[in-house]
Amino acid sequence: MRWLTLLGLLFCACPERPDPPEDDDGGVPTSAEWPDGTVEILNARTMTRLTDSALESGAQGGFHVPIDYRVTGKTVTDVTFSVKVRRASDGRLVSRGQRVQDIDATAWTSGEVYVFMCPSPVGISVVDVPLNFEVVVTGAGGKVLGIAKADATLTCPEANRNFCDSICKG
Amino acid sequence: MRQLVTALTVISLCAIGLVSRRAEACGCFAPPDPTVPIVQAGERILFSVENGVVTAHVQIQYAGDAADFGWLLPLPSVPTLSLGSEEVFTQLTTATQPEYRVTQVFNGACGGRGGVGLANAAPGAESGVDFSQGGPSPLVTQSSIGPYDYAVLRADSKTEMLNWLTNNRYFIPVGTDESVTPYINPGAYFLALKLKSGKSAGDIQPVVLTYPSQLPMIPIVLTSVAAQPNMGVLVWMLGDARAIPRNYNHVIINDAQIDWLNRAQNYNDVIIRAVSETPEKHAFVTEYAGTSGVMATRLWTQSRFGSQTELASRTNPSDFVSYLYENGFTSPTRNSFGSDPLIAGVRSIVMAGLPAQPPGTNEENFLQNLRFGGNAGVSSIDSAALAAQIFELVVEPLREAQTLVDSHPKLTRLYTTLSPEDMTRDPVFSFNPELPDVSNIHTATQTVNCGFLNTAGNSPSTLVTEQGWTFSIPGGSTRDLTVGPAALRIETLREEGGPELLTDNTPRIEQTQNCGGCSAVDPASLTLLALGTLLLRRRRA
Repeated sequence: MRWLTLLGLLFCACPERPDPPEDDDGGVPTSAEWPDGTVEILNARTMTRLTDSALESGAQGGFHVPIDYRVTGKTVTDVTFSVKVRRASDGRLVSRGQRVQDIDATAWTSGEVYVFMCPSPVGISVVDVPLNFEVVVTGAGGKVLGIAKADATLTCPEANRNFCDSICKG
Repeated sequence: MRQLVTALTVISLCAIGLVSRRAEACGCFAPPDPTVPIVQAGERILFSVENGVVTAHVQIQYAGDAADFGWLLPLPSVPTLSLGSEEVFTQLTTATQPEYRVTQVFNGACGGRGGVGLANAAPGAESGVDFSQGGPSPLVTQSSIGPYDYAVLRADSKTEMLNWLTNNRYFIPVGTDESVTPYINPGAYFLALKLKSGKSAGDIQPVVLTYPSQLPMIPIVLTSVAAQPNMGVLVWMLGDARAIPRNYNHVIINDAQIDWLNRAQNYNDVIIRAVSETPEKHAFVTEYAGTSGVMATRLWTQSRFGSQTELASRTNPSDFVSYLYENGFTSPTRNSFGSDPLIAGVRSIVMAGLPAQPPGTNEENFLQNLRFGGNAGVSSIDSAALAAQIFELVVEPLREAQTLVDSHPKLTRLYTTLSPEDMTRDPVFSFNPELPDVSNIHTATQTVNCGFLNTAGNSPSTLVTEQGWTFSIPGGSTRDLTVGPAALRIETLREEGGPELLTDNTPRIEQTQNCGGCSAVDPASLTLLALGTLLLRRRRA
């Protein structure tokens, strides 16, 4: 019976990780006032639609991905851009941010927005895995004006890959 | 087994256990002798995040020669730098301090009353470095603000930056070369501070930094080269929701280990043990999470501080000092005169404007005497200049800090302790609007069973903690406060959803606490137990 007890102890000794959250739409509204494509998520360096990108060194030893919001054909003041980044595999939220801006031109871009990625949340890797970017644009009273999505896999820059891996892989 | 205690007679709330810690400084101090490590005692920072901009109030506390003071902080961009106020941290600490209160319930009439009082601070440490002007590269900018000269350095190249620091007599502690590496990259910066010529260590006041960043982070890895064991890291976060540690775990302490009846003096020890039980010893405790309204009007109001013109008109030293005491320039910490002392920054400015006093002079006592007409020899005062300094260096920073606090609905206070060998990951803070508030007030109930001629102090009692742990305490005895785990629960907090449980120590704590009466031991009880056991065995035999 002693070996059975030992096996039991071995199994019991492994701490259980909590189950990932149930898949859902992450709370992103499905309808918006503006037509699809009015809002876009761009790579801030290339000013093209966000796709697979390398992280950049950022705040105090961390890493971020620089994006830009582009809004076409609308001018609205005091709008809120709320971005969420989730892992495609399990829907884990890995970054969120929000800023308020005025859209003052019909061909408007926000300027660089640094989406904080690393240090990553405890136990969660944010590099070398597919990610879903979603930005919701809301106006007065929380009215959803526009929605944009993009998929991208982020990688660590070669220059400091080892350090980046150490803080971006949970 | 947790038990509910029914109060038979509620007499009074007789005790408040107030736990406070003094924690000083932030960033990295570099000592004159690189082989002698600086002992940095703590970190105290107030962060706010809004629209991709982080504002950080950083408390610097130092006592030593002004020429030896130097401070280094990595930043993601060229910051906007302004002066803060010690009063911000004094008020934040007071408003959000963990309090452990005991409600005493008396069964019968005890001859006396026990009680607990206030617990106090942990010591800090001081350190510094000689800091002189030097060559320009990799200098970005240098200027002065308040008592400081400062320089912003590019951190593109570690060699260039360290050479600049060395050439400017900024000695690098052993280990800095390695620990500073993560912060060296194109587009990064370092801020270096020194005291202006003619300024003293008493002129040091917090600094306020503003820089673009989505989330605030503490460069704790850099701190590891010069930190003391179990260094306290105390962070306040302003925002629209409760703040969380993003890349550290979260721990709820086992309040059975709090010394409720002795002013909760072991609070910090419990934190240290609880954190040590978490993975990699990386976990924060949430000491308060709730409305920022607890800070409403604490720092500045339209009617506080009177007017600069009126203060400047008080050319008589006694009148000038009296105006300060009577118009809100005080901080709510009673002194030996039974009144609140002047805000630390105000006191420093006034003392600097008076004839030098003998070493060892108690500044607060001196000013109180001056206020009431004492202290011959102080016949004149440059009231206009002093008033201008007070309003520029104290009042205006408080007004700006109050505006910052009032513009964010939520305030969170997070605390941990870290030893240098555990400073392997810079903590980052984020928010989760779905988490509940956390109170800083904790209450236990002690039911005292008074006997004939007993006092409350030597009567047996039962203590029920806030978490529901019950202890029977024979009169005059103490209990072992280190039994079992110090952490009740270890969990991970995410930016959405509820806590993810890693470890629930409730069963272990229940087992170690046993039943009521088993955790408190005194010789008389042991003797009775032994006799009882002996009698039982004889009967069975």
